[in-house]
Amino acid sequence: MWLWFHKLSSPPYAYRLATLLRPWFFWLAMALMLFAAYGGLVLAPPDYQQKDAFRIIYVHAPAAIMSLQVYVVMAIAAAVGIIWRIKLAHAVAAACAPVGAAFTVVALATGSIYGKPMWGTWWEWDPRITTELIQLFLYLGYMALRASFDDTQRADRASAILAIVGVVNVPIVKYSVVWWNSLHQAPTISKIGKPAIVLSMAWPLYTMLLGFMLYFAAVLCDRVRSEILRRERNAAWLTETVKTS
Amino acid sequence: MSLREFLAMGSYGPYIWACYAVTIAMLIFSAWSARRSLHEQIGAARRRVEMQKEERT
Repeated sequence: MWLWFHKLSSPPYAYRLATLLRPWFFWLAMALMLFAAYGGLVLAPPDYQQKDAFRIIYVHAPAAIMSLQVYVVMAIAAAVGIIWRIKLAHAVAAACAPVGAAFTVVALATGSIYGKPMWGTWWEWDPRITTELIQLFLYLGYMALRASFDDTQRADRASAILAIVGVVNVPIVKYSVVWWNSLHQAPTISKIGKPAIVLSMAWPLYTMLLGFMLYFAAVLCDRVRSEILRRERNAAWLTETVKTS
Repeated sequence: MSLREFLAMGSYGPYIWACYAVTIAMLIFSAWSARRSLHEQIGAARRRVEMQKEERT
């Protein structure tokens, strides 16, 4: 285990692994997302309350879950980078932020469009929506903080602190609908053992979430590779790598 | 179910298709920008390697 961890933290190995895995993640993600969209838009029956509008949930909920999950990955990578001084972990953390921000934008935008027919408003300063907006600002703040340093090591350390501190917002977003009176509906899929929806409506949701996770993995592979290249100045393996790729 | 009925989504069509369009656009943009920055970095690394080679000779 430790040997593997050590091997993984070596940039040339991680670079090659990311190159190798990326197409698998990407095409599997595409297939799952298409399958889930078909299931959600065509196969699933209309909801008895929300009619066909509930089909928005198949992109909205997975994107919202990803906006939190990507942040957790980013904070863990940043913590590993700070504690064990692993440069690659910082590279992974830096690579997470733009993808996480994209998922957060999708969650907010689709939520806004979902809100119009359901609640009669595009925007409300509701706990769930407001905390999710803070989530977006955390990603943007993290990226802005990184961009403000010329020195990569200082950028790594400063932005890692922000990423770790910012992780408190994740449970706040997650439980905002439970803690406060909210317009937002209660979670649909996190009730383990006692699902809130029938299987024909649930499976496209899980499939889309899995598709989004694999998509994130694929984009992360590309972003980690660029971070590694940006950091490696004159390693011998770099000469071999850029010749062939 | 006809195609027209499917696209109308019981009058919720515009909302649903707008959501799916936003999601697809963001997925494409995010993957494309990651690819673009990777190609930029590969190009930059290649130039660095070539400069070092010239310095040695």
